[in-house]
Amino acid sequence: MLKNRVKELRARYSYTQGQLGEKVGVTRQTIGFIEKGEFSPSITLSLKLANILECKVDELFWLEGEEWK
Amino acid sequence: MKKDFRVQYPLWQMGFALLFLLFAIVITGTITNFANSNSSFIYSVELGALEGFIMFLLIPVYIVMVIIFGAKISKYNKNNPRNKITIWSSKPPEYMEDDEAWQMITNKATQKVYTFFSWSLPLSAVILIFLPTSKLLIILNLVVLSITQYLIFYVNIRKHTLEEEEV
Repeated sequence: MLKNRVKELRARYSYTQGQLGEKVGVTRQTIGFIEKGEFSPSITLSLKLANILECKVDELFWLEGEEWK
Repeated sequence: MKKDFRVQYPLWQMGFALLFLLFAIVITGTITNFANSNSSFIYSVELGALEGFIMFLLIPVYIVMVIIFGAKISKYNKNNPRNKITIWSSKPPEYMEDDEAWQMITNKATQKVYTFFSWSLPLSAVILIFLPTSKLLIILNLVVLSITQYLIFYVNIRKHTLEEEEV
């Protein structure tokens, strides 16, 4: 499963899901899907999120366990 | 999101399909006369007392549904001027393609509908070959397929719209 720190980093910048979604051009629900691990974002969206949350993509998203195989 | 008219759109289509089925039941149960010549074309439908009464009830329901449906489309278009719905578009208005996550959700829902048609259409064809077919049976078959298609799509989209409050 693709793990992420979107919720944690979003809280650090005090963004709501809606505000973060607006900054990267997606809906509030999509930020929610990403945070819950229900949706794996594209590389483009991952880069945009990492840019807004001022971190590297691999600090924001990573794979765990069986997903590496 | 769950109040988005695009989410509710399949429910409206299911409602119209059911209404159409009721119309079809009444019409196919009536005496119809059809005459065609080089210069004229005559088609008449003779309703019995029961069919006439049912039709008397159905027509106002249909008119009310069309008015509410039209009002909902207008309201949606007013709130979403950049993403207007038109019933004349070849692309189904219920597609939710606001961003990549919604595109994926729509893709998965349409894939399930495609899977349904991949076996239900051949099955329907086989059933209609072997059963003594009537006009009503063919219409019933089409309406059932149509309603099931919208139901599959609706259920698959709907579960993603049951959103939590913003955290």
